[in-house]
Amino acid sequence: MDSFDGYTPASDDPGTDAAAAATPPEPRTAGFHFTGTTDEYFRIWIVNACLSIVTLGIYSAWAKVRMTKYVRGHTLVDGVPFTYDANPIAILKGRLIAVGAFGLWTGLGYISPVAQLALLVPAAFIVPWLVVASLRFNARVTAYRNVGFRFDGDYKGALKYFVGFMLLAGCTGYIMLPWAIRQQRAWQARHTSWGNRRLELRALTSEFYAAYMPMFIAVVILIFVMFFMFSVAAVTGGKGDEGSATDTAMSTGMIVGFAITYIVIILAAFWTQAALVGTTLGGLAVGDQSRMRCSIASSRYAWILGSNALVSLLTLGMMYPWGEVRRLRYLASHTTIGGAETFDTVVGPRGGPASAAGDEVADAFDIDVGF
Amino acid sequence: MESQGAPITLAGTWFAAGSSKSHVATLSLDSGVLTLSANDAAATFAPGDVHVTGLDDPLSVDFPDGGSFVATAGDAGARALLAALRVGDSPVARLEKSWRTVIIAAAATMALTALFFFVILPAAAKPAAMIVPQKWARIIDDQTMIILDKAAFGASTLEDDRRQELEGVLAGLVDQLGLDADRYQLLMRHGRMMGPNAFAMPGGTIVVTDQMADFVDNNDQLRAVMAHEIGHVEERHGLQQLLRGSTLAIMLVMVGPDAGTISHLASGMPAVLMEKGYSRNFERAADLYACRALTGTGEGTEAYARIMEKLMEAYPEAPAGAAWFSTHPDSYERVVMIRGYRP
Repeated sequence: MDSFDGYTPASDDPGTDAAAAATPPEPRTAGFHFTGTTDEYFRIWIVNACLSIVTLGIYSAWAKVRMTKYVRGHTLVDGVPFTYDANPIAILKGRLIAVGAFGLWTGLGYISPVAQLALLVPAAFIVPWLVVASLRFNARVTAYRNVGFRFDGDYKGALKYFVGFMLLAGCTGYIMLPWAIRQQRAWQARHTSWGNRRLELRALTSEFYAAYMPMFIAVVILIFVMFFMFSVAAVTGGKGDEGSATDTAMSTGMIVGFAITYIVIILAAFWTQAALVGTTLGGLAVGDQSRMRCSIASSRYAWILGSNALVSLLTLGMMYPWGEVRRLRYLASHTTIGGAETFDTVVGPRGGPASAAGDEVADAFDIDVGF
Repeated sequence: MESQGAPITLAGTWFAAGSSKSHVATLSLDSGVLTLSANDAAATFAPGDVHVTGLDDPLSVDFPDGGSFVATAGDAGARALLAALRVGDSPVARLEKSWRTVIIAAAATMALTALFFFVILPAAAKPAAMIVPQKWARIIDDQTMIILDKAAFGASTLEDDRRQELEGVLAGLVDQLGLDADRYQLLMRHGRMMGPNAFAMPGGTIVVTDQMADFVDNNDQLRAVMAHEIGHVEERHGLQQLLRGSTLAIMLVMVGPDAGTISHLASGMPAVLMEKGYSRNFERAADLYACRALTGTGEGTEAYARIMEKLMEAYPEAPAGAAWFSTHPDSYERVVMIRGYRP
């Protein structure tokens, strides 16, 4: 086997360092493109879903690798795809842990809700570990232009941002939630790097508050409706005979009121989710050279999320691939990254299962639990 | 590995190990040898030494020295190269390519899901529920009562002798039916918004609301209500429901659309809908049990039919959670069944 070890690029290549130093290249912005098709994605999804069911879920880890590989491989930046090369065993491990924990949790809920609540304490210390393991795994198996991503956040950071700050947000009646989420994502970004370029979240706290506005408004509506309902119930309760017309009308009114509030909350949740995607993605910088921009309209993206969920539900999941492709296409076509002229200058090893870095310790603890 | 036919050449980009710098390159396969050419230099590889990471277009090939070649998107040569290297030929990839297997997979997925939900899960839950020890089931009752007492019930305001009368009704029925008296306990509670109501818990705890005790015309009607609840306990409906619910939730974690994602664990909507369907069947089964029991003791099903009718008349709209039969569909149909019951 010949190898490229002794290879050096020819000096007349227009992209070489020498040439670049002489004339700095024009600043250039590159677009994201999603080239996957509904047809292909559906076929991959249904075959893999079927195999997952037949194998009682064991194959689902391989299915996850196949699906993610398809999505990342069809997400192009500047015409070059991302690569995803994960070991399905790691994903299977993560999945078994999730199932075990969830089973234990539900089982305990039936036997003793008090013990279930008590279990939250150790869970608060285990979750950060899972977060770190999962983020590290996902970064390590992803590469772009043959340079791998890396996540080097530690347990202490995850404990602080995923548990501490969340508790703090909860204590303030979630008024501080947008701030906490920004802190959390900023931590995630600054511990993620692509080769020698570190990510940075430059989105402002005020932008996160703006993103959470629909959710805050919906919660205020919910509190108002609940307050109104219970005051009505308190005033009329006990006076009307059971089963009387007023009683029935009241119950019906309550059901309708709660149904409307529930729908408002779901819509607000989609809207907030959409705004968060735009704010986070559009607020990222990859090193000093590249700033990302995301021009998705929250209303449009929320509509895509909401209608996808509804269509998926109505077709018993069969239209899920259609929705995913639709979502990814919209998201990619509205995302750009600056400084594309410097994409040639990034150096760093590539991770993945074929990694020569030899981090067996990391391998042993490879798990992927989605967050 | 042999590759026959005309040489295949792919245009693309090559990246050296550890560098994002792109080099215009070509990858060709001729007589079983892969040749990578970039910037006037070339190297050859055996197909077995490379690792193909992209299964489809855009194809990418990793080399043993850490370099990587990415084919230009849309290059028709990619599929030819994959075919020649027999890489895209994994059994699963072949299934994905053929529309026939895709349609079979879709049908199989739906059929297996339905089979699991409607046949396997209920069939497996029954024997499993039967072997759950009574002690464990009673723990579930006690814990549930702690919550219900806080959230839904008030303390019973019934007179002591009325309470004892009710306990006598249950004890008498359990004795007449030849059941294990230790399994059953009666609890009286004020039902608040629930109105006249009664329910059975997995471990044999039967809760009757004060409103129900006041609502019935006589103790025969109360016996009928309790016979229905005993039916739920004897056939382990509560335990079956718990086992089914937990299994469904766990299955969703394993094979759901975004399986393994903790944030999606809450999306158990279909499971909830399924549970509604299940509970209808359980109600019918408990009705049948009660009819059999009441006929067996010689009193017949008239008192049972009468209390059902009385509840229907009092709650024609059956607002959710307000009446004993609110989760029970087709109340009229049930009255007809109960009245027409012949052993």
